[in-house]
Amino acid sequence: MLWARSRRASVYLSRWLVLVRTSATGTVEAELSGDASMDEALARVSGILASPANLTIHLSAAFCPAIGIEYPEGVHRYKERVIFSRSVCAARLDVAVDAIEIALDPSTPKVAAPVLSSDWRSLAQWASEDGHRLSSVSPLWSVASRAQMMNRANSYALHEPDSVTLVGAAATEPTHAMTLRLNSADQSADALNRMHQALGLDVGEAGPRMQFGRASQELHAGLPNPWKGYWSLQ
Amino acid sequence: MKRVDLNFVRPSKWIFIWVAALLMLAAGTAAVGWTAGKLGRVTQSNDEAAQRIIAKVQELSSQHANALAAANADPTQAQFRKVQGQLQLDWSPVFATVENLREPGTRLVSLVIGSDTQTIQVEYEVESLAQAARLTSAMNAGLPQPAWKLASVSAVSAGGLAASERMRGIWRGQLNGLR
Repeated sequence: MLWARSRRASVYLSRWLVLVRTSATGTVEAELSGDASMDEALARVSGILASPANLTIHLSAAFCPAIGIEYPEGVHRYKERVIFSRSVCAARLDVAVDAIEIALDPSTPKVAAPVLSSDWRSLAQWASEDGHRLSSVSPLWSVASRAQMMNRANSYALHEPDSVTLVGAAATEPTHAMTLRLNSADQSADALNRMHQALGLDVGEAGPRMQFGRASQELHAGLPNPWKGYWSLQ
Repeated sequence: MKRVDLNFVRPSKWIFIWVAALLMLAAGTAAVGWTAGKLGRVTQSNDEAAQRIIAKVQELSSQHANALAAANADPTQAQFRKVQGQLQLDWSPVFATVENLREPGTRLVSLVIGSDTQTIQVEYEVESLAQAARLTSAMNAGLPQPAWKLASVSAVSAGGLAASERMRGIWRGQLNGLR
């Protein structure tokens, strides 16, 4: 199956929209009906992605939210920070500690990304059954942080079809983060204002507001490279 | 703002094993290459030294052969070598033979040494043929093979009286036979 492993594909999973990009087919969009679960989103991907591939998966913030963590004094070791941030994320999501998986960047530990263990198991099982290999699984808001325009920004907002994420930094390190799930796109602006207030960020000095999920003809310099053409600035 | 690098997929331990194996392979290849290069340089250096030595030996051999040819071509040198060879011969057995002879009535007339052919000729004056025969036996006494041979006997007139007629015998021998 080496030939299959050499084929690469990128997948974006959200509750309202699924994107699948391969070199052969380009980007294929699939809208989901309502507030879909991980299994429903993956079922749509299976319908698009026929053959096994090396997958780069980006999760929407509704599946993998951004959560700011404030560590108590004396918690410096990475393993301790993972344990602490896991408990904070579980409390924010109102689930048990062992019901989530967590990703934490050692160089930016004050922003954590949890995903429900049930969603993670669904993803792994789906990949195994369809013969895919998971090359990487990361939240799209972390992809947004790697955009060139983020070099000088102190905060950024990412509007996805199912969520809005706000990440703010003190000095250069991301320290504040929050995600709100949306029931409709109309809530997006209102949610962002509420998040600014909740995080104590100055709306007037807000950084770039990126929109993701709709093919856009206007290309702005400095937007993230993955999923080119699906980013826009508000 | 710093970028946030997150990935829920942990790198497989096989990646580290492969990386370690590749690093070891690269290190091994580099070590072998370095050793081979060093050996190559040493071998090349040895080859060059061997070539220099062989050329020097050939040059000296050539010089020696030329000197030898020149020496052989020189008649003075040839004569010198001949004389040197003759001087190195041991003529003691000849003189010992002559000195040790105790045969009354005999007299040594001449001793001729042929240094080129290493032959010796001794002439004795004897009183009779029987005495000549005894003298032959005495000269060959103690030798593994008889080296002296009576070559000729001739009469010598003394005072014109037949009764007092004496004889001279000539014995010849090879130096090699006396050793």
